[in-house]
Amino acid sequence: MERLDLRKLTGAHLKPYRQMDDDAPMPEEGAVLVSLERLTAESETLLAHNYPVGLLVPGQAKAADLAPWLDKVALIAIRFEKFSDGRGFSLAHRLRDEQGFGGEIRATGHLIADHAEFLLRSGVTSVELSDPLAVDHFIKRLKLYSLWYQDTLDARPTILELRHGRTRKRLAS
Amino acid sequence: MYRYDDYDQTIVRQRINDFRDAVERRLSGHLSEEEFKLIRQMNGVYLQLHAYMLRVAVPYGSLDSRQMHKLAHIARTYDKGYGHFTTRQNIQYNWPALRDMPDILEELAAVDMHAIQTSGNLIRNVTADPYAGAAAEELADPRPYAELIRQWSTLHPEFSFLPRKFKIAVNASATDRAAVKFHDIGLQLKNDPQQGRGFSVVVGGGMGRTPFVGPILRDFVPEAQILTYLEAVLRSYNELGRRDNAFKARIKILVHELGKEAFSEMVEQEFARLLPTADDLPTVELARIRSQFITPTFDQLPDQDADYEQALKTDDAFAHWVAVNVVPHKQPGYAIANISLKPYGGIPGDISADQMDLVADLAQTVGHDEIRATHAQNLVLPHVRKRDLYTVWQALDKAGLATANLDRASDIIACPGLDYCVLANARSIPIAQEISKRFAAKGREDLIGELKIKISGCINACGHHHAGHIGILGVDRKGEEMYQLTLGGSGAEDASIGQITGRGFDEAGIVDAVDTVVDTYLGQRKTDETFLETYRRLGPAPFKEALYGTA
Repeated sequence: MERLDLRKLTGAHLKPYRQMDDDAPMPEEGAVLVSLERLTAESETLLAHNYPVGLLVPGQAKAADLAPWLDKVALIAIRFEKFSDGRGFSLAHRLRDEQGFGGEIRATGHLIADHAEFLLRSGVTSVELSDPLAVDHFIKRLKLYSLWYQDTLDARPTILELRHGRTRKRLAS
Repeated sequence: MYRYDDYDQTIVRQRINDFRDAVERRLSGHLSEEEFKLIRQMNGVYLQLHAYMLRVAVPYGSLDSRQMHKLAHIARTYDKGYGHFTTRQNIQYNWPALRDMPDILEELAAVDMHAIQTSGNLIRNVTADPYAGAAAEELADPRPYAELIRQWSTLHPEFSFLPRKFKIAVNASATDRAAVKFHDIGLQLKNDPQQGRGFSVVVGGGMGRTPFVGPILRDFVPEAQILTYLEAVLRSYNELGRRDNAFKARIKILVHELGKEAFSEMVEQEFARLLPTADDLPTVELARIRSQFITPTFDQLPDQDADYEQALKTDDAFAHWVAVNVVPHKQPGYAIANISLKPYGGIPGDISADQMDLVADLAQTVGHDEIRATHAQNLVLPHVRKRDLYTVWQALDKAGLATANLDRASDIIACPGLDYCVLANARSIPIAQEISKRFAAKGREDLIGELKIKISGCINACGHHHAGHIGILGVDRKGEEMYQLTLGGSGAEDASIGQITGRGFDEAGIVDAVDTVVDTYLGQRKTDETFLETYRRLGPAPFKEALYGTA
């Protein structure tokens, strides 16, 4: 498996996480990914370990259900079951915008290069890809786009901000 | 006409480079057809029965002469010399080569056009009233709102892999010429005495195999909050819409299965969460978009023009065209001229490159440089001085574009059907042609008055048969093309879904059946009653009896 940081366009610094089945014994060392069910059931033992524990959730998971764990896990991995299933984008958006999660969100599963830019702008920070060629395609696409109309959930300005020469204000204020 | 700035232009160019790369990967075998399918669809490229097809977006149906000339050029250079206007105010080219697609997209970009999001499971081309900016009774021009939504929905990071396609329409007149109640989201502009301008929002209308007249999800959303509200609806749909069955994946099914109240509650909750941090820039942007629209400076004219009145008196064919195809304009001395793309026996929506050039020339010389495409597959010159109408008509007539049949029996909407489409069960175009010929031969369209006939070649209902006063649905019955008849549908402000009359008809039978239905109407109608009014008064019984005899 290859890893890519969508902003830095390299994966060298990214930690590999081992995906654990719910009944598999925990390894002695190395970072692991566990399901919400397992984390909920075994949180005390899991979080007491001195290796990083990430939460692996499907795209249809509810952000609010993950809320209690967001400050306890090292990373959230969103699994895309099928490349055409866009629920993971909304989940990532909610984790950032609704839950205020500031940690790493990694997309896994059936990803295609056409997702690259959309993932980044939905709040996903890294991806796990099956082969090096896919990494090249992701990088190429991320370099292709320099402008967007929608909010990016980060400091990069939108077209609207560029046009009007200022950052957005809140409607309510 | 909205003029792109450098940012709009850059987005389109970057998308072309992206697509060019994908086409190269496909042609060199690095992308499978299955992988390529998704990418090409998002860029407007379909694979039809015989060839690739390119669907070019005409946002809210608005074109200027430069753009229409370019469409003509593309038809000539890359296609067989014609194009086909669709029911989403777009234009399709049926015969371009795949390797030419990126070049065509470059040509389009040169005139502020693209094919982005004319296919795929995402937010499609935003449609609007084709009479926008010209209609006498409109509250405001709906196109700046449609442009705001176009930009917001273009390459949207979160909503580009929805359960199914998503269509938004904007209307700003009491008369609904955008079929808002049959859209995934239909926005009807309104004024609120306290809150100012905003929208009544219809969610979950649609056609297809389960047609719904969409319910109003929220009676009023202030214009400053409309993108926030759309975001709340789209996020709820993206999370909850069905993905297990493509036929049940549209938002109309979600709204229907959850119930309007439950879905509305969910949207309200999200809307309330988003509002406190919602962006104020769309409101600022709306003002900029309005200023980017080149709006015509109308001449101050008397409403009557002597030469025009004279021409009406001396040329019956012209007078007839005016009576049928020309409608009142908000500006005195002006009129809205509809150009029918439904010549008798012709293919609905088809137009040749030469005809495109002519329409462009007319727009440029006597039409304030504006052209509109309608969802009924016709064109409009929205701003014509009455004194120029005779010249316009003469030019159109010479080019075979002066058929006087707006909203008449031969002004038929038809999907491409089995002649082009991989999904179709039956042909649509030949049926439209036969019905049109029949009415032309009988010469009684004026007697019949307003009658909207709509034909779909399969249950996906691209020909909008559910909303036809008379609807025709092609089905496959043991290898034979058969046609079901529906009556009493409407896509306008009085939206309704047509009811099936009974057993279907074969190719010849369906043309006779339409004739029978019209005969029944003519025999039963009261003075000045339209077909739809008569049908709604009498119900299906007399029509069924005429079609099938008494049981």
